[in-house]
Amino acid sequence: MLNDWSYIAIFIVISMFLPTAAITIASFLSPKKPNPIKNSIYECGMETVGEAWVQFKVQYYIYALVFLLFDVEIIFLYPWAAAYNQLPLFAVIEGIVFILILLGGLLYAWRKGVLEWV
Amino acid sequence: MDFLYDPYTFIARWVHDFLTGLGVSPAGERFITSLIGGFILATGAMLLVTMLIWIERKVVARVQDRFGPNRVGPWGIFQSFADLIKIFTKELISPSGIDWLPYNLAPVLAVASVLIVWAVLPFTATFYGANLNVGILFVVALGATGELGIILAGWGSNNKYTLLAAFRAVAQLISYSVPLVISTIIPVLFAGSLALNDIVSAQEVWFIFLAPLAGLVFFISNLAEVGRAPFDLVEAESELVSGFNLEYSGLKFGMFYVAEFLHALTAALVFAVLFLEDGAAQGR
Repeated sequence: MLNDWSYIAIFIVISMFLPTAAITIASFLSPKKPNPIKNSIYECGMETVGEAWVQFKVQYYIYALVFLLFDVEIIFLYPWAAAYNQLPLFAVIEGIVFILILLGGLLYAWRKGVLEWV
Repeated sequence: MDFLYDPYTFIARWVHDFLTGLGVSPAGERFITSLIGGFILATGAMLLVTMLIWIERKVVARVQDRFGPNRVGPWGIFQSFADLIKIFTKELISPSGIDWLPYNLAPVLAVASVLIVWAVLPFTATFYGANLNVGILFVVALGATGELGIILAGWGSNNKYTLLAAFRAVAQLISYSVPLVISTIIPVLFAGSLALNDIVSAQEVWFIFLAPLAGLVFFISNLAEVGRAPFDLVEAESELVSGFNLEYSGLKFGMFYVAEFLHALTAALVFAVLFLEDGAAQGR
């Protein structure tokens, strides 16, 4: 098991290294002729009005929160699914109840209009 | 060991014997073999992507009654490699007012987040990187870091179009990643294990025949994750110019391009592992 994780650590370093190395080589090979017009932000010929780093709607934040909720739900469901064959009936029903409770939460969020992209 | 029957094990054993013969310690030997194997696998993935770009251009051209690339090499097969060499010599324009670290980290993260998944994919019974006992969780969790690359690109570019496009892309990705992850529970439930190798060997029948709905949900969610045809509102040209990668040029843009195709290839591989494998035919 430790073997596998050490391989994964090495592979993560490699997969970060390959694009970094490619971009570094390209930055040596490519010409560098910057000028103010070329470096300006692309906005179809217009000057940017105000700061580009704006604050976004709070609705989006609730959206992400619902996503987080369901992702955590899935983390709880994985061990339940992996051990499904050895589970007693009680545990299976418990899992279904768990899903139903979260389904109620989803219906509530739906009714509140969180899933709408405005 | 027959070389033609299983070349991977043959070469791995040869490298092992060679390094032990040189007097390398077991830990060092493991480190070197992991490094070589990882490099070959990652480079192979990148090469497959250049081929995939050629295939896509060729197929799209045929659909639109054109020839597509047909100059470089037979049937234009080396067109992507020519493009790759050329893109290295293109200027990397850094717009003024960018946030340096997110802007430069984003293309690296976009490729790395997809490439990392290749560490756990079981290609054959002997040829795989690592057989994690939480393999599917690893695929899902590390695959989701691609969203981080997109939001960094949109935020770091100091442009309102890219910021809006990044928000839209991430909204689409996270909303489809929930059904994506839920549908992976079905193969886990059948196989009784989270390890990808066990899921493959548990398939006497293709899981897509046992659970066609889960397979369909997984496939459609993957289409949305990759941003392909019916879900390509991430790069709506008429509204958002080009999407979150608007301010990138040269190889930094190329990295996003590679990441997109690599994501498509990886999603297809994961789909094949979860739903279309035949454990008995692979001699497991």
